[in-house]
Amino acid sequence: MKIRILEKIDQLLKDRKEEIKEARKDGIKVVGYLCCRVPVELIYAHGMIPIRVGNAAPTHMALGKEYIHQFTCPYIKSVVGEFLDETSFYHKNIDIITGSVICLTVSRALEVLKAYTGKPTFPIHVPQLPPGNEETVYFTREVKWFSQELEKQTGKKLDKGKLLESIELYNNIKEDLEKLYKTQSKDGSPLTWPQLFRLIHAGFLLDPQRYQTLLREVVEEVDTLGIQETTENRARIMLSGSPVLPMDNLLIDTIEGAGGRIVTDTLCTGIRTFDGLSIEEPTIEGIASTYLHSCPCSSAQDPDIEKDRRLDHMLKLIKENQVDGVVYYCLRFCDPFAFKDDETKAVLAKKTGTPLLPIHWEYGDSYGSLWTRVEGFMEAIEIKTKR
Amino acid sequence: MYAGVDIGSLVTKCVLLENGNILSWSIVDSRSDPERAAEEALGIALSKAHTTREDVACTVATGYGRIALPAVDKTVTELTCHGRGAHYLCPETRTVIDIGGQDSKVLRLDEQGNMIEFAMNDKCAAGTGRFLEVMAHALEIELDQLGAFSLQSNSPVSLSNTCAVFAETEVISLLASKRRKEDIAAGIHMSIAGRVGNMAKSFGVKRDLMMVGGVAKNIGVRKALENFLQIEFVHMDTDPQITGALGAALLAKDFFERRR
Repeated sequence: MKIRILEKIDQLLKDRKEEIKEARKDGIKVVGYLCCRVPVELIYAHGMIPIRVGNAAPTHMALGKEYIHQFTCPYIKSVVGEFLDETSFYHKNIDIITGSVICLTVSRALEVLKAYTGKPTFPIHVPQLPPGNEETVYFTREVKWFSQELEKQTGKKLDKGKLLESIELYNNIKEDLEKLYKTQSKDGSPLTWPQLFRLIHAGFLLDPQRYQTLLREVVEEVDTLGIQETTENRARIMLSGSPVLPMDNLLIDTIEGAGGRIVTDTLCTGIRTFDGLSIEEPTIEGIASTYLHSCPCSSAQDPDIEKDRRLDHMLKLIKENQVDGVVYYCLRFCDPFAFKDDETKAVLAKKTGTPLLPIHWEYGDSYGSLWTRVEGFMEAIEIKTKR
Repeated sequence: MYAGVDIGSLVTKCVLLENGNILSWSIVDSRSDPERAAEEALGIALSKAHTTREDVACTVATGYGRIALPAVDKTVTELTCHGRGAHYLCPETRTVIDIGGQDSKVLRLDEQGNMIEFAMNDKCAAGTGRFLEVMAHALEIELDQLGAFSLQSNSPVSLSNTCAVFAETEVISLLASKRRKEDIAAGIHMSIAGRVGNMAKSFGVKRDLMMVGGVAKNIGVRKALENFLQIEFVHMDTDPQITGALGAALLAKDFFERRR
């Protein structure tokens, strides 16, 4: 269904880029971040502009390959290339780069970007193991360090009042995203998952106050339209695995075109940007604890597969959203997800009987083979669920 | 009467089904023109059966080129179609290995012949018919004789390269070192069996096991795979290359009856 407010997004994003250029003239610094584990509310509280970087446009991959090893994922190659392109928005407007280095490829990207752009880079070390006392102490120290480095960049101490405001603002954003997420999963929802996914990506660039207003408008419009009567009976799909970046629409379109309906995800560019990330205690310690306890990416290590955070998160969402099948996306050289495709498939088969389709992919791969795999998966689900 | 057309990247197959039996079938080169190939394959099958297009109640297309056909009743993936065709030929089949010209697949079937799970390799030529074509050319042996020729070896050469391109270079170098052609041929078959066999092992092989697709006609690959997996394939009297088209024709019958 057409959500009228969503039609504004393209113009808002275009305007935002101009706003950022103007803000920088007033001395406001822009922080480009990789990874949903970077505490974005802290960056904003320091009076800086946070932008989550990365998209699936192939434009910058070739340039990226000149600077970072070919055995890195296309997402990182593209980010590196965009930063090194002297005509690009990133190159001209992002002052500081940061990311969670739980992923070694992000870690390498920060090293490469520091070396070739000269921009300050701050790798945030998120513990790999499940959060215990030592991990909490360690990560709190990391977040404090990050905050202190941002203070050096602005020349101003972190204001507690601004921190509280920022946390409240981002908590409201996350609450609205959660509301919309629950709605889109229902049969007859006027809002679809692909529309919400695009809305989440808009938040990577937009000013958070403007974004909060936009989200409120979407919530109101969706509430007004209400849940529709429907006889639609498509297979309910979870999209899991490697980051699906803005403009990486092929797999989503293929799933929806082959008779599936995406109703949930576990993506770091989707639900994990807000799920479990509402901060209760408005302090550095509160931020650290919240981010540490949220669902990690596959780079994390959970020694006990029965208590694996990532798998538990998947199983919970599968049950909550009555998922019929999981499409598990593995970008080429995204080893953390690729290495775990078999065990993920086995655990789902054992615990919920949910089938999983691994899609090993690189931007520009053959569409025909993707279509056959996804369509074949839908045919098998149709048999299983007797749709 | 029902028609199933399987448009592969190299070869197009058609099966006509009547009263639950195969009435006729055909195999033609695809030659990068799926629509023409489908028409030609269908035309030959109709001609062999002494019947016309008007007698076909429903047509299902499958295979790589299925998307390019405007005038069929339904398209279904070759994954489902091969499963259905294999089950028709042997109802006890639970695992199907399909090695085609440019990809290889392993399928799991349920008791009704439905494909319920699959694994595919279409990124690497080393586990496909293309690998054998390249090697046959390097050995200067006709492709359809390569398999039987390989069985003459008592001492297969083990190829170290997993890449089809580098393996070709390796074969040329082995020939220059005066290694026996049949030993090299046997090594080639062990190599493809290892690639596909590993995919099958990782997927899990449940009896009965059937091999379909064009490469199933290569006795050398069949034997090498049976040896690798330590399981015999079910015997087939029907040309294994038409299994997908057969499955498509069976699905055409189901689709027509459901619509009625």
